Amino acid sequence: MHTYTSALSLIGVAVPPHLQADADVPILCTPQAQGDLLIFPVTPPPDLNWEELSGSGIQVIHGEATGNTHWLHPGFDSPGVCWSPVDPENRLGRERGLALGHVRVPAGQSALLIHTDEHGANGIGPGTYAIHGKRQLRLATAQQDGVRAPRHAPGSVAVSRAAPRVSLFERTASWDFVVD
Amino acid sequence: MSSTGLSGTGLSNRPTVLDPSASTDAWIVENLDCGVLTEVDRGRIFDGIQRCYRATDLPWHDHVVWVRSPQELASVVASSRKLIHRWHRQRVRRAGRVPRLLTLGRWAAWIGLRVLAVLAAVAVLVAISWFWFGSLTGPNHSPIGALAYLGFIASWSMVHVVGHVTLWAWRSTVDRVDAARNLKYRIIQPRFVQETRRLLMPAADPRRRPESDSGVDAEADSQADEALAALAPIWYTLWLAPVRSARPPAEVSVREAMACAIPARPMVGWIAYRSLTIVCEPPLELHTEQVAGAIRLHNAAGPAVVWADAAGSVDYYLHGVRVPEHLYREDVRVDDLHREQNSEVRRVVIERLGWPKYIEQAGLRLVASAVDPGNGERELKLYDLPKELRDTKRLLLMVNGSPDHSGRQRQYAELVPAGFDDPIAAVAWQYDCPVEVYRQLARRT
Repeated sequence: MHTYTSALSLIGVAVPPHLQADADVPILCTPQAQGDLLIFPVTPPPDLNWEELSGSGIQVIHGEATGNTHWLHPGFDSPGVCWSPVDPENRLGRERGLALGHVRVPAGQSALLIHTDEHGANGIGPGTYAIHGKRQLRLATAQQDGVRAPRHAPGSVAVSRAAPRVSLFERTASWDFVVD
Repeated sequence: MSSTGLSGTGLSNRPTVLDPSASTDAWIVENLDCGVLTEVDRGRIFDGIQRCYRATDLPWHDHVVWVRSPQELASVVASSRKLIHRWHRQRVRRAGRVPRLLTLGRWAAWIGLRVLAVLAAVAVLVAISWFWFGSLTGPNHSPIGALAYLGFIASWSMVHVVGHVTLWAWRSTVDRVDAARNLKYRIIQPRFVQETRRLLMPAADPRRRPESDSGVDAEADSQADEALAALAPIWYTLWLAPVRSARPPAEVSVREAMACAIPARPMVGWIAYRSLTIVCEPPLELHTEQVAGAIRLHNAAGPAVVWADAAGSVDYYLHGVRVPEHLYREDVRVDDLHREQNSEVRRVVIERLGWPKYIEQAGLRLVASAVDPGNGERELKLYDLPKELRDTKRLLLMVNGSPDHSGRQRQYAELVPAGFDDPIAAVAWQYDCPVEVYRQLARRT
């Protein structure tokens, strides 16, 4: 069984000091979560394109805000672990779906989901699983937009120090995709 | 996400042409420079603006006002009409007494000539009828009518010819003064903006060397376009937002502020009128972050923009959102936050404060709580948002499955739809998985 040390060494990362380096990474076939990712067993759709995972693993998702990455690796003696990424344009048929891909672990083998920072590693046992991301809503737009500047006499100085409505980027989706 | 803080001491020693192989990111950072302008920089900016006017066949007015912050820019825009009037009056005074008198007399002469023409026509009528018939009316009237009409046309035409020749002579003398009196203080509209943009973009690309004008590097052009597109929101945020909030006069519509087309491309904003140009100097300090290829103003440890005006104006920005000073400080009061009308400001301030701290200070109503599966004894808690946030969503407070680098189990909160009463159902919605699947969660890291 992998420990945090051996698991994180697969992606060239040292164990953060807040984690116990020699703690075992349990291999589970039940739903489990790593930060903003959820792994749970599913019956996979029939038309998936499976790719065998190489020894260097694959980046499942990279968090731009934090710079951290979730990696998927085959476990000890697990050459048959396969990964099928979901096309971002076709995730569950929704605008920005949450499914990132599917993992298939043959009998007698295992896979590891490893985080580059605080979440350590999760062991995945035989079976077929979906990996989902996470979403959250945003605060609603206010009805009243900013604060009106006071009227002023011509030629006098009138500078409003209220924060204007500044929204540099159009957001068409009503919720955010969360990645830590 | 990368953050940069920039401060400068002038632009004269900057290279005028960058390496063509430089990435778009490097070009953007290179052009987010700031600092006090030297006289050489001002001269180059002045020449660049003059080139823009002449490129669009607009007469250059030589009337440039320099300001050092958007607040000063807003006050000058508000008093722009007064400035333009004063400048024109000075030009009229400098034109000389004779042309001024001539322009004033022009309208009097024009009216006088019309009156003279009418009197002349009447005099011709009277003279014809008296000479021909010895009285104002003839025996049959009809020849008198026709002759009178012909006489009227002839005299009117003669007067017009004389009048136009006279005015043409006067116009060549008083044209400058007359134009000065014809005040146009509208900001130059989209035609100017579009044409100067065409002028600005090739000239603004510092990677284009003068001898390679005919051989355009398409890749360099597209990178320059990308860089300009990334910088435009910064320019808009820096100058136009404060100017818009100052409510300039109704005759003036502030369309765009543009960075100046000089080879070094500093952070200079300017607003163009026909008879006035207002130029805002770069800030002393500028802090930004880059997220997903977009650049935005941001500083979590102080003002994001520091201006060089006498008042020492500073602007606070969090993730591209301008935050009032009283909401930026660490001990922000929840009452002040709730009074803020702008939802973007409320969002970034709450995120900076942290939802757990906000929940504690705002005293939110707890809707339900449940043990978080796979996370030991830690709980999920569901809260109502306060009515001051004008949002019916609910807030789900969670505890991280792993300790952070300080060894503490961090709390965080995220918004979920209002229809959830069960925290487990809410978190299952977040992951888009069946509720019964999430209840079986065996381990959370």
